[in-house]
Amino acid sequence: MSAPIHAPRMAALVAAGALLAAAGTPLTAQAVDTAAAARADTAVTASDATAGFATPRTAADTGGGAGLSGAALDAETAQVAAQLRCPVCRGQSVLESTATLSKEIQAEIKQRLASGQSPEAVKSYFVSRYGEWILLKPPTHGFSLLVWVLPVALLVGGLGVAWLWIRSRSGEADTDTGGGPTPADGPAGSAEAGLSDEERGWLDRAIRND
Amino acid sequence: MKRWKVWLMLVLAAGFLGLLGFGLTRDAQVLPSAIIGQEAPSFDLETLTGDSLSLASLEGHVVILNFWASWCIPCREEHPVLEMAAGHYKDHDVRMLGVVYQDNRANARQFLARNGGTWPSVLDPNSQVAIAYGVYGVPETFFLDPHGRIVKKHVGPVPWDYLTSTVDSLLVASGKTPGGVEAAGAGSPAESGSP
Repeated sequence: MSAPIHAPRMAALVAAGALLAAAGTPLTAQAVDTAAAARADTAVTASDATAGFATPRTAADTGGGAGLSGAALDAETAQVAAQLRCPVCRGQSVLESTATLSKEIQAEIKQRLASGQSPEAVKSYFVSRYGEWILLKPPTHGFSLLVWVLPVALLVGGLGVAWLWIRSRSGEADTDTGGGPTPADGPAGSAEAGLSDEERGWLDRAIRND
Repeated sequence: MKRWKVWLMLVLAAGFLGLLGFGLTRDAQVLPSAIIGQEAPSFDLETLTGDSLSLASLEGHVVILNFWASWCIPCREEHPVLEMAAGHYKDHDVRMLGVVYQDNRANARQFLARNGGTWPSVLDPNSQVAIAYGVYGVPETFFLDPHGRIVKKHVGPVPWDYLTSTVDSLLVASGKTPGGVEAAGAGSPAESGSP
């Protein structure tokens, strides 16, 4: 009876929930994905680019030391660069960006890795200078945790509301909800729906006679 | 409509409006800075005239550290303010220092020859100092207290009022004479309070 009318509304409700969830999804997560995809392609060119930036301090370290060197260093540099946001272009990673500052940051990453710093230490250096903003993927603690939790919470919440709503509709349609008739869903539904043939005839007659 | 539904809708609507309000009243251009309140990263770099200059040598002074470049149009706009500041704080415990960002010596010198400015500027090859200060672009101006701590940072051409109020408050906080007052003026806090 009332189900066909309300189905679209229900669908809309669920869709709205999904939309909310989608809107809340960290955009940066997509950026990281593309960065990761780009990494494979650009790894070679990136190392070429950084090779040009021979930094004065690294000259001594590159020969040998605690850090990485050669292809492993290039790969690790690209790995870290893909996780950092280009401060100039903002929407791109340091690895993808062609901005001068990005290339200089890559050189800095490379130099720090070459001198034996761990990728985590290198990243936290940039966080200490630019803030957590510099990380393309928001950290999973503190206020930034909200970015990860909120979409899921909204989706689950939306589905929950939809489920409650469906349950309350079907409860009204079938039988009374148990605890006796409530004034809120009282007269309108039952009065229209529960007419017997005799009553309907009486009603028709009354309308015609008037 | 049941009461709880009305409440739910009100709460959702309020949440949305709150989020919108938060998003729309924030300036998207303002980026967070992680190094306010921290000790200024030290450096020892070559000036445009070929001397060596370290930040440590300026300790005990309020420092206006300005990142700039000759190719940067807003820097041209900003330059008269810096020149005025240089004159205004000539007799005070204030030092101005430029850091040339992604530029070369010849262009930077030409800029200063054309636009004036007698305070020193250092060259920052590979932008290592700019990165250490978390610079996004030029111009950016950092204000350091006499202990070498970064107190404030301004992105974009620094306005005169902002500059003077910041520097004056730093001077007063460290027991020095603020700008516009004769350094030897009677009745002003003595300069003996400097650390």
